[in-house]
Amino acid sequence: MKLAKARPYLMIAPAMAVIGVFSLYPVAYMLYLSFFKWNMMGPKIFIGLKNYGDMLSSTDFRQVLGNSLEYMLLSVVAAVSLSFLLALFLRKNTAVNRFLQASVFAPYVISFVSIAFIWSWFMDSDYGLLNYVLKLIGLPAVDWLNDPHVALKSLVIVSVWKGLGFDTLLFVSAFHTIPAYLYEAARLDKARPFAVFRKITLPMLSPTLFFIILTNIIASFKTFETISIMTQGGPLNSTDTLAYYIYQYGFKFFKIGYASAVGVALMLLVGIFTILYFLTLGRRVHYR
Amino acid sequence: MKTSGKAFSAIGRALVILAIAAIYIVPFYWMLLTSIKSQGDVLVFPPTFWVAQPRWENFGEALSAFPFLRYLLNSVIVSVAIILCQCLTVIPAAYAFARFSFKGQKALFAIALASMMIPAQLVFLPVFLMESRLGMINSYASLILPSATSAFGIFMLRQTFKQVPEEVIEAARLDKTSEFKIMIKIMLPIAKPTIATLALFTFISTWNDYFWPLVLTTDDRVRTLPLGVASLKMAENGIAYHTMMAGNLIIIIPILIVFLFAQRQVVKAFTYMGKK
Amino acid sequence: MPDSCRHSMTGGAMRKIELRGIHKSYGAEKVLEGLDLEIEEGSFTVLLGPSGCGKSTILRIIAGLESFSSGKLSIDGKDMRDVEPGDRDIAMVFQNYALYPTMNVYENIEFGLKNRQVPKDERSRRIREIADLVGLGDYLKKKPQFLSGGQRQRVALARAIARKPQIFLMDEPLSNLDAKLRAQIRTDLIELHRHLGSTFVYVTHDQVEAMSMGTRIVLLEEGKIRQSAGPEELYASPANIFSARFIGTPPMNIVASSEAMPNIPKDARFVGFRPERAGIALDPGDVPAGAISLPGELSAREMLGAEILYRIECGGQSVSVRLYDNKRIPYGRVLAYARRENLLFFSGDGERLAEA
Repeated sequence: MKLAKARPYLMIAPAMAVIGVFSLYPVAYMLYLSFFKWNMMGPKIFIGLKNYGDMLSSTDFRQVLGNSLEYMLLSVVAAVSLSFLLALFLRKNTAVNRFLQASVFAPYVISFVSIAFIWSWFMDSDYGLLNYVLKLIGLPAVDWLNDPHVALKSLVIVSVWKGLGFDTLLFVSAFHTIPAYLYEAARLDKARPFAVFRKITLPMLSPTLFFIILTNIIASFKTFETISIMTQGGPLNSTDTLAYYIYQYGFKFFKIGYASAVGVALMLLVGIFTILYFLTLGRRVHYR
Repeated sequence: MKTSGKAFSAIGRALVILAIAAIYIVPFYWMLLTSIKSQGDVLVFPPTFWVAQPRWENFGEALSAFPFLRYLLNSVIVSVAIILCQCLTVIPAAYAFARFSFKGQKALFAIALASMMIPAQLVFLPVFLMESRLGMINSYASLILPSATSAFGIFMLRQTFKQVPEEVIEAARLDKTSEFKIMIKIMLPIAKPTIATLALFTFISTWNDYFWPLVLTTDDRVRTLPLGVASLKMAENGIAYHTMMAGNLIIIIPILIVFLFAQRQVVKAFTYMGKK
Repeated sequence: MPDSCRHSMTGGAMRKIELRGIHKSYGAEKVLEGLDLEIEEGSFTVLLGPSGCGKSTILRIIAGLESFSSGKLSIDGKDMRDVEPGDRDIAMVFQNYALYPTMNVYENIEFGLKNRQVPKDERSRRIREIADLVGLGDYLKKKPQFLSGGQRQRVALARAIARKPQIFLMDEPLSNLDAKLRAQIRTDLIELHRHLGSTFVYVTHDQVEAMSMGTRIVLLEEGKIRQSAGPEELYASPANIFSARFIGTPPMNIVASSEAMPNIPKDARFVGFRPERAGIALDPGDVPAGAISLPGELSAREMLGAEILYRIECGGQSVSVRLYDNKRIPYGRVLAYARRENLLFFSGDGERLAEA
């Protein structure tokens, strides 16, 4: 009898242990470290909330925060709307559509590093293909990665390009789960296309939509590879976002305490967004 | 009137198809092309679309720029080890959450779910500090342990287990099946597709992971392929796009081949997830 | 009494399954309260009732798949409190068959035998035997998803039979089959029961099934036994209005008693009579002496081949009459009547009154 009671706990123990050690404990440790000044070698010096103060008053941080928010907004809006439209376009199960779905999905299986490289070559200001095409159709060349006003948007383009396939496929399969008879009933009811979209398609897709928006929000805060390989945070810090900022301060400048404080800020940011998200849009999801 | 409308939409549709194909296939073609050009051919404007004399040496140069075979081996070891660890931790946990009810179950499951939102980019610093204090840095363990479980996997597998009709389990109990046997002989076979899909996704993300190896390893002996690829950027005279693309191609081709074969499985996986 | 019904030394049938004072609730909802039930060895006992009456719960308690808060369950005189479902020598056929989806038919049947350490040659012998008996030979190697509903049903049955248990439990096994298949398997089950001689406990909401198969019917309503009797007794002598109206198609006519009815017991508030024991008259002179008559409007007429079913609206009450001659009674005002000897009387709270 005793074994039977302990059994479920034993079964979840390994997984929960890993989660505890590598997800929960680090968060707590990071919180702890954020109150110290430390360069990994010398002693830890307790400085209370000074890191936070420095962070909030630093123009760098404010720029980074702004960059992160801008990145999140752009990438989520672009990714969700494009994948939705693409799924709408490709949802019929024809050979052409299947081929397109596969090609759109292909970047997902490839390392972000490789993709960053390919695109940095593409976006090369002097020799890249993009500028060549632009010149061909008579538009001016864009300094994709070197113009502080453009660089962040270029990185958004890259990550949207990579992730589109995944989201599109999720939408396509969600489309397939909408029972045909709903549309048939709507036809008999003489419903106009937009009404059909609003009253049938959208509600039926809302769980998937909810999921995709959420994962994109979280993913946008994780952006690292593109920044690390393509712009290193520049030009003029225009592509420095929170994850990279933490990396810089932790691994390049060795300001562990400060980096931890930024980490806490990032976590709060993600947490707040998630909660807000669940409270607002989460309510409007239609479950079957 | 109607036919011209149809023709319009057919043309429009074709144009969109071409556009999509272009956006997704051209970069690969371009990469392919660049990988066989010489540096001189590459850094030229306007760019050329065909190569008279393919320069196969690029591939050799790419492979010798970093210890390719060692990195390849490391990638394989780490990926396989992580998949195995995940199976060992996720399957029992998902089963327990799905089929038993015990005190604190809801809270523990919520914690597991919440951990899905704690990305590597947030915790890498403390994890690095932890591991270096334990002397684990630059070992396979350092890369394997942080990813030894998957909260997403627990979530998905629990759904699958929950969908086994209660009656089948009851029939097994009446057939005098021990709890262990129920899990092995009934639940696991039913869950095989889900487990296979999770393993596939884990493989892809682990194989391509740049971040954890970057942060946790500095030694060639344990570094993985994405880091090797990244090192291609540094070249003597300016950015050696030709070698870089050649190197990338070498890394990408195996996984694209795997993808081509696993394609149907992937689509099935998505249809399955779409139903959730 | 079936041949296989054993008698103890002191006479009377042996009690196979006994439930005493069983209390069961789902949260705040009380499903069974102080239930007492005895199931005789070798009987084909049907637990019958509308949905939610607790019949499946009782079955699952016997199987050990449900717990109960107080009371006692014994099988063969032994308390089953600490006995695992797998150790009770019980086989069960589930409503949705509950076949193991990743095993083929042969393996499905074999599984329970393997777990009980039945030796290999004995296993294969039994399975071959059952396959012939139930007609499964052709698809032993197939997996459940490739079988039709009727075939899956047979596999579920075969799996239960192969165990050679003392007690067979069946939870609405025919409800997912089409009418023709249902009728066929019903007969097969009756034969099986006679052939095997084990105790069958069968749950259904279909009174036709219950009446045709059971040697004893336990009629349940909201967790309480309303009547427990053989089919003939249940039909001819219902203990209350619920039983009277649950059994029979169409159900027994129950009308409020009135002054106009001759020779009615004093405390009879309701009068009941079966549709086939009623008649229709066109004017009061044709009503037999001593019968009660109800004036009304003939509202529907169903031609069923061997019989015609009439429905007459009598001032707010609907009366069915079943006649076996082809005389077509025209729509319009008629009188429904029933002779005194065919009447049953019920008190104000629905209980049957003994004849005066």
